[in-house]
Amino acid sequence: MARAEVDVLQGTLDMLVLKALAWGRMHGYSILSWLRQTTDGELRIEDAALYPALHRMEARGLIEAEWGLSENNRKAKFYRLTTRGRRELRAEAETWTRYVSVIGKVLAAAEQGA
Amino acid sequence: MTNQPRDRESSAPAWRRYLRLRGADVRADVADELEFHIDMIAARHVANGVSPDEARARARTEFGDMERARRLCEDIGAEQERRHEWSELLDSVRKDVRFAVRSLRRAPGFTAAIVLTLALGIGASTAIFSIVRGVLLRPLPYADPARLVRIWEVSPRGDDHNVASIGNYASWRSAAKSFSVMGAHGAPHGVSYVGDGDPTQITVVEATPSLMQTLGARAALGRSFVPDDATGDGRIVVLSHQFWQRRFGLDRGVIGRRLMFNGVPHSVIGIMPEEFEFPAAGVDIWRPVTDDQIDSNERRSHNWLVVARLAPGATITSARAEMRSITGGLAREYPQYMTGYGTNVVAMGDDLVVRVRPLLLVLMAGATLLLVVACANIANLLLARAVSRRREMAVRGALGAARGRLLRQLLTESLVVALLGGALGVGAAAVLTRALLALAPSDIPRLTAVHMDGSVLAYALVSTIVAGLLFGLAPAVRLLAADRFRGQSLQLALRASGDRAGSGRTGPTRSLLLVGELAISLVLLTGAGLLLRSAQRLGRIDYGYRTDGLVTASLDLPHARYDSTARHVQFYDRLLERVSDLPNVSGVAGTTESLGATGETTFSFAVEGRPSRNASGREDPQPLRVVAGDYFRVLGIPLRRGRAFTAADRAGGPPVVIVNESLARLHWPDRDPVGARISLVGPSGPWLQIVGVVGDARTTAADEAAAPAFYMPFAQKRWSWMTWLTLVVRTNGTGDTTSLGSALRGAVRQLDPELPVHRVATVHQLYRESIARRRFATVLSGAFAVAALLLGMVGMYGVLSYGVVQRRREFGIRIALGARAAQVTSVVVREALVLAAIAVAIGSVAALALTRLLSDLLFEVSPTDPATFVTVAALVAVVAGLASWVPARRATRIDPASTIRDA
Repeated sequence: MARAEVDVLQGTLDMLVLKALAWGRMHGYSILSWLRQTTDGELRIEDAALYPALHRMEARGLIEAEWGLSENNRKAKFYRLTTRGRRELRAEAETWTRYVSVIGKVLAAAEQGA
Repeated sequence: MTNQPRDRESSAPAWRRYLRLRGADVRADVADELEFHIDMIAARHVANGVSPDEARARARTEFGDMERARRLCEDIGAEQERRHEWSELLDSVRKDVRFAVRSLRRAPGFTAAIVLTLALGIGASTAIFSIVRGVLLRPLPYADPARLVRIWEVSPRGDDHNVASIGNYASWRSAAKSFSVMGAHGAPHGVSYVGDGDPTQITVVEATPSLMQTLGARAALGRSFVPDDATGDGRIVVLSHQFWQRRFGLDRGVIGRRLMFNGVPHSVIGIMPEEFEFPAAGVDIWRPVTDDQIDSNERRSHNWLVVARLAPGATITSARAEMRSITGGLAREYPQYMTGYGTNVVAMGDDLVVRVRPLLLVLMAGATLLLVVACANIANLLLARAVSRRREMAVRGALGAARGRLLRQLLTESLVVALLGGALGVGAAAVLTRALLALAPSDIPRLTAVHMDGSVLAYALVSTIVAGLLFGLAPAVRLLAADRFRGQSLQLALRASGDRAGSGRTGPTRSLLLVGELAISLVLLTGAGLLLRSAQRLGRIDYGYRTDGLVTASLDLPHARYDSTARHVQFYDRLLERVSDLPNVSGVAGTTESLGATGETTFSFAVEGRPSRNASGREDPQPLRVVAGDYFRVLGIPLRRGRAFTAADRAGGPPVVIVNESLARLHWPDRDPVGARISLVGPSGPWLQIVGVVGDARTTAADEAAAPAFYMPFAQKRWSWMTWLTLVVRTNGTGDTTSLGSALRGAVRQLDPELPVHRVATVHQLYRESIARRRFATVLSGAFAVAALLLGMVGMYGVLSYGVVQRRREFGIRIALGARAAQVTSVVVREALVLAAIAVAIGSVAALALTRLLSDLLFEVSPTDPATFVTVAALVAVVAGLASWVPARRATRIDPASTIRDA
């Protein structure tokens, strides 16, 4: 597992955050932890990039936020999916899966041709 | 997707719930959130044995560009905040409106009353405004109209709208530096046009080619006049759009065609645009005045209207000063013609409307007052409702609705109902405007510029909103006042279900509004009453002759075929003979006066053996009426002295004139003028002998008093340009113009098939037209006044009914103590009369101050005419009494037992 980290692709961060929140209420730090854990640290996500993304999605009504207490009893801002966010996640995931499979087909064909 | 969380979204937008929790401090929230993240990273490092300081430093590096993240988040937050505020506002407005609509729906009768009342007020004022806008406010349809002026002479008699002599025009044009360009034109007059069908009389204006340049008017098709036309043969015409449409069906091929006007062929060179109406609507063609027609020495006859454009840098004031000095020079140069004359320079826009402005402003004021009365009435209705809603408001207040919130709710309700009324009012205004245009006298200029345009709609909208706020204020103020008793007021309000004599009495406010309403109605009624009395006086004028059964018809002989007085006389003699043989005709005469219209041809004259005090050597000009046939007998103008004209007073015979009594009084106060001689030329003759004195006859506009005038037989006139004559036919019947008109036309056709007969009308019709403006004002202000009075009556009814309900116990006790019905009734009626008396007192004082503005429109009635004031006051009192009748009856039927029990 010593492969180099890959940068998160432009535009996919939102989808990943939505996916993370599909599991339930989380604050920013735990979203990042979950993403890093799930990708075995192979995906490089800058901490600073997460918050503008969260706030943007909140403004779009994909997620909503409230202040609450963290596991270590500190005031933290928790996010969770809205219905719209869930719909968005479903649509994005579907597009992404099709995209990956189409690109996969192209690449597989190229290998055969070579 | 798998793993759907169970909780469902609520309907409110997510960010609103979030914002409520978070408060509004975007920056602090962003800082807190980021700080938490840093702390979490640092905590992880500390757990791995790194020192706290070191851990924090590492966390910051790991986090990345903190400042950028913070800024981005804050921007998003601020944007959200803005959107939120708007949305919150819209949302609450929407809620208020929905609530208002619901509460208005619960009271449909009440809502309808308000909407209709306001629609009446808005409709009337918007309709009048659309006319004011078109006639008074819209700029003239010429290039840079603010720089256009009219130049008039001021006659020695003080008439500052005296038409100019062509010689003066020529002098002004060459001398004045204040104007970049100047043009002159004659008054619109008739010419005969023979197209495909019958000869018709159309309206022509003769204008110097420079006039079009002065106005900056371009043709829509072809060309208008150019300076070169001044040296041409003058046989060209420009058509109005309306004439082009009417006679040629907008056929572009008419350009270049030759049309016959008064028997002379003219080439059509252009068509003016539709909105070009100069000098007034109804002109069919414009014909150029060529330079050789301008006799720069002609200073005796004054019949030109002058228009000029101010030169760059010149103002009306500077132009006036220059014209004064030019006129002074002319008076020194031509003392015999110009002594006593001045000049008058007026902005053209003002000049056009100066005579109708008072009328329109009076009507606008009337409509506005009606709107105010409507608002007062609505405020009263709302106040009555506010009382019955005190419970509702108290409960909502107790449940925590803020005072501002309730206030806004009430105002929203008023505005919603106002907008409904306004919308209906605009619809009513559209209909009313059309009706007004149909009713409006034709001498109001620029009526074709009247449209329901953007500014009219804006006016309606603004007055609707102002009205809504005004009448919404009354219940809102009540709410605030009631608020002072907050706390106890809920209890009171809840308890006071039947009897409302608690802390929220609206009686005084409502009575005050009612008094105001009635006082304004009284002002309107007084104005309308004065106009009505003027109309009455006008209907009873002694014209000085018999107007019944007199029918007139106008003719104008084309100069090309009738170029001498001898020919005119020959034609008209034969025509009079034929007409007198028509059935039902008992007599016929002719005159150069235009009966029933303002404006006459005047001449100055010298009296033999009596040098004039004027430097010109002649007396001030007086109207000269040139008459044919047995004029005085046919009209019934009494002969006071001497003799009337006879068939012997012909060309070649001794020249004679007849004066009327006013002129006789003016110049021969202490002797018989018969036998005296006057001259129209100068102190050395030639002389005309006065052979008779006749009574004064009021033959010009009905509202113009008889003026000094003199008469001359048509057969002895010296002027070949005087080609026109108005036939005056005395009929045996009531004056059926249709059959007589066709008989007249037949008689004319037999003599000259190309000659049109113009304006066949009874003298009564002519007089009615001459006072059309007064009638317009009378009818409209009467309608406003009656509407206001009816509203006042409804308001009175409302206030008294409410008072009776409020004082049920008092009445119940009185009845229980044996008061008779008449006594109970008199209590209510007395209250009505007291209110009416206060209103009459206030209204009469206001009317005394305001009716002066009407003086232009009044006829032989003083603005403070006591009879009118007394009648109107009595009318208001009677109406108040009537309005009190039903509530008074209701008071007598109160069941004492039930009211006393309720207490």
